[in-house]
Amino acid sequence: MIQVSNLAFRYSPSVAIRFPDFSVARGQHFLLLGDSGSGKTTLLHLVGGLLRNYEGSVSVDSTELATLSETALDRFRGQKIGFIFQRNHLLSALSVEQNLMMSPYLAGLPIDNGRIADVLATLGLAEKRKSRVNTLSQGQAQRVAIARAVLNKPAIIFADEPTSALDDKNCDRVIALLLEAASQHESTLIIATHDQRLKSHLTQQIQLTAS
Amino acid sequence: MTLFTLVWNYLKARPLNTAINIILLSLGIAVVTILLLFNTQLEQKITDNARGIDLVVGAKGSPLQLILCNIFHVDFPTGNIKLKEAEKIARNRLVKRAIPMALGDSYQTYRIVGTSRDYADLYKGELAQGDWWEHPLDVTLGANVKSLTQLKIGDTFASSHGLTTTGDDHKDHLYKVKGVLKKNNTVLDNIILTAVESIWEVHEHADTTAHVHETRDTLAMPSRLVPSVAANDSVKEVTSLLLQYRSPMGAIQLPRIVNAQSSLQAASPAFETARLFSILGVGADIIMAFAYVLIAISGLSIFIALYNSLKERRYDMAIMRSMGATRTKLFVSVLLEGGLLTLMGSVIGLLMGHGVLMLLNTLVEETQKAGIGGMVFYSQEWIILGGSLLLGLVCALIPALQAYRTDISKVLASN
Repeated sequence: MIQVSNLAFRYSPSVAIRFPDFSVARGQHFLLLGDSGSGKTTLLHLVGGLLRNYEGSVSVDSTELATLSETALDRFRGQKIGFIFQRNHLLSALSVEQNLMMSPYLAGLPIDNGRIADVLATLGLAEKRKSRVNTLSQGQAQRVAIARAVLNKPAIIFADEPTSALDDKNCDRVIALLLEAASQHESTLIIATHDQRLKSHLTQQIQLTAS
Repeated sequence: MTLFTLVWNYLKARPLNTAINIILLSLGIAVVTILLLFNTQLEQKITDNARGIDLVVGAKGSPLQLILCNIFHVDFPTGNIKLKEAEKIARNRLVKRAIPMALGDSYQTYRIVGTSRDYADLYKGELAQGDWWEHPLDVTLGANVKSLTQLKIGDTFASSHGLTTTGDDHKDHLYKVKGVLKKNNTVLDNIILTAVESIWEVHEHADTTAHVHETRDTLAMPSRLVPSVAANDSVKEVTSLLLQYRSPMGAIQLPRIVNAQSSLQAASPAFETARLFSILGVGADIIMAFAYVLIAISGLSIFIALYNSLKERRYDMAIMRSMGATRTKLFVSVLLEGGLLTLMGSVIGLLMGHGVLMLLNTLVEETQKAGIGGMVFYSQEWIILGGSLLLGLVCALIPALQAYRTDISKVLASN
C-alpha cells in the first residue's frame, strides 16, 4: 500500500531530512515513533500528499505521488486518505452533520446520509448529529474528527499525535476506536506519535531518529 | 452540502460583521437608487411636459420663470402681454401652432389655465367623463385635481387669486365643472382647464364688460388665438404664447423676432430646462459623491472582514485541503462570500430606495403631483446590481488569493 524509498525532503536549500525506507501492506497498522523534531509530521505529510517536492520515491496505492498534478493529488487525498490531526479541528461555522458532509463533498464523492448516521452511531454521537461543534466536549470533538476521517472508507488513515493530550482512559478509548474503524474497512492505519502508551496496542513500528 | 451552504454558514457564524457590511453597502446603494429614480423620473416628466413646445413667448422677466410658469405651472407669471402683439407672432409664417395661455388664478392650489383646446391636444388629453369646456366659466378638471379636491361634474367653485388657498376669492364669478380628464401623467393632471375668456370675465370689473361687446360688434377679423375677439383688439391681454415651429428655421429666426419687441421675450424650454438641470445637478452630484463614499467604505469594510476572518480560518482552509478541496475551490468560496455579501447589500439597498420613494409618494403631496413614485424600475438598476457584485469580487480577491496560497503542511504542522 505504501512504499517509501530514498525519501528526503529539503526544508530549505541547506536543511534536509532523510527518512528510512519502509513499506506498509494493505490493512496493516503501524506506529511511527520518534522524538519531537525527528520529522514524524513531515513524513506523514509527505506520504499523505500534503507536502510535495520531495526527493526519492513515495508510492501510495501503487501511485507515485510526484507524478500527480496538484488537483489530481487533492482528489487522491480526498478519496483514499483520512486524516486525524492532533488539534482535532472541526469547522466551527458548521454543525456536526455538516462537518461530516464536507468529507465526501470535498472529495467529490456522493453524500450518503445513511453512512453518516451509521458512523455517528458507531462512535456514540447519534444524538449530536445536529449540534454545533462548539457545544461538544473535547472527547466528542475528537470522535467527530475520527468520524470525518473514516467516513469515505479511506484506504489509509493517518493520525498525527491523536492521543498526546489525552489521559490514559481516553487514550485507550481513542486508540480502540481508531483500530476498530480501520479494521472495519481494512484501512491501513499509521499513527505518528511519541506517546509510549501506544506501543502496547500496535506492535509494528517505524522508528525515526533525529538527525 | 454545497459551496453555497458552506459560505452561508460562515456568514451566519459572524452575524454582526455580516449585518454591518450589508447595512453599510445597502445605505449607499439606496441613496444611489433614490437619486436615479428621482432624477430619471423628474427628467422624464420635464421632457414629456415640454415636448411639442418649441418656444414660450411672454412678458419680459426671467426666461426660466417663464418656462416654469407656463409649461410646468410651478412659478408665478412674469406679467401679461397684449393679445394684439401675441397675435402678430402667432401669424408669423414660421409658426405652425400657437396656443394662448391666461394664468393667474387657482382653486385649492390647482392652477386654472385659460387656453384653447390645442393645449389639451398637445398633451393628448382625453376625457374620462363629461365634456370639454365650451363657454366662459366652464372648466374641465385634470385627473389629480378631481381626486384630490373631490369636485364633481356640475359642481361650482370660486377661484382665488394667485396660487395660494388664502388669496382673494372671486366670489362673484363661479366656475362650473363640465368634465374630467383621464390621468395621462402630464401637467394636465394637475390643472384646471378653461377658456381664455373665463379668465378675462373673472378679472374684468363691471366697467369693462361693455367693451367686449363693443369690440365684438366691430370686429373685422377674428383673432386666431381667441376667436371671440378681434385680431386687433388693443385691450385684451394673455400671459403667454406657446409656439411650435413649422420648420427648423423658426429656431433661428423667431426668438430674434420676439426679443426685438421691447415688451416681449422668448424662452426655449429645451435650453432653460437644461440650465435648470445644471443648477440642480450640483446638489445631486454632492449627494451622489456621498453615496459613492459610503459604497467605497463598505467595500473596504468587506475587504477587512474577509481578510481578518481568513486569518482565523487558515486552519479551516488547511483541513479542507486535506479532505480533498482544491485550491480553486477555496479561492471560489472566498469570492462567493464577498459576492454574496454585496449581492445582499445591493438587493436590500435597491428595495430600500424604491421603498423610500413609495413612502415619499404617499407622504409628500408635491412628489405625488410631480408623479414621482417608487414602483418604477430602470435598466440602470441592473448596472447597480452588477457593479456592486463586481465590488464584492474585487474586495474578496486578495483574501481569496490568500486562501489559494494556503500552505497546508505548514498550517497543519504549526500548533
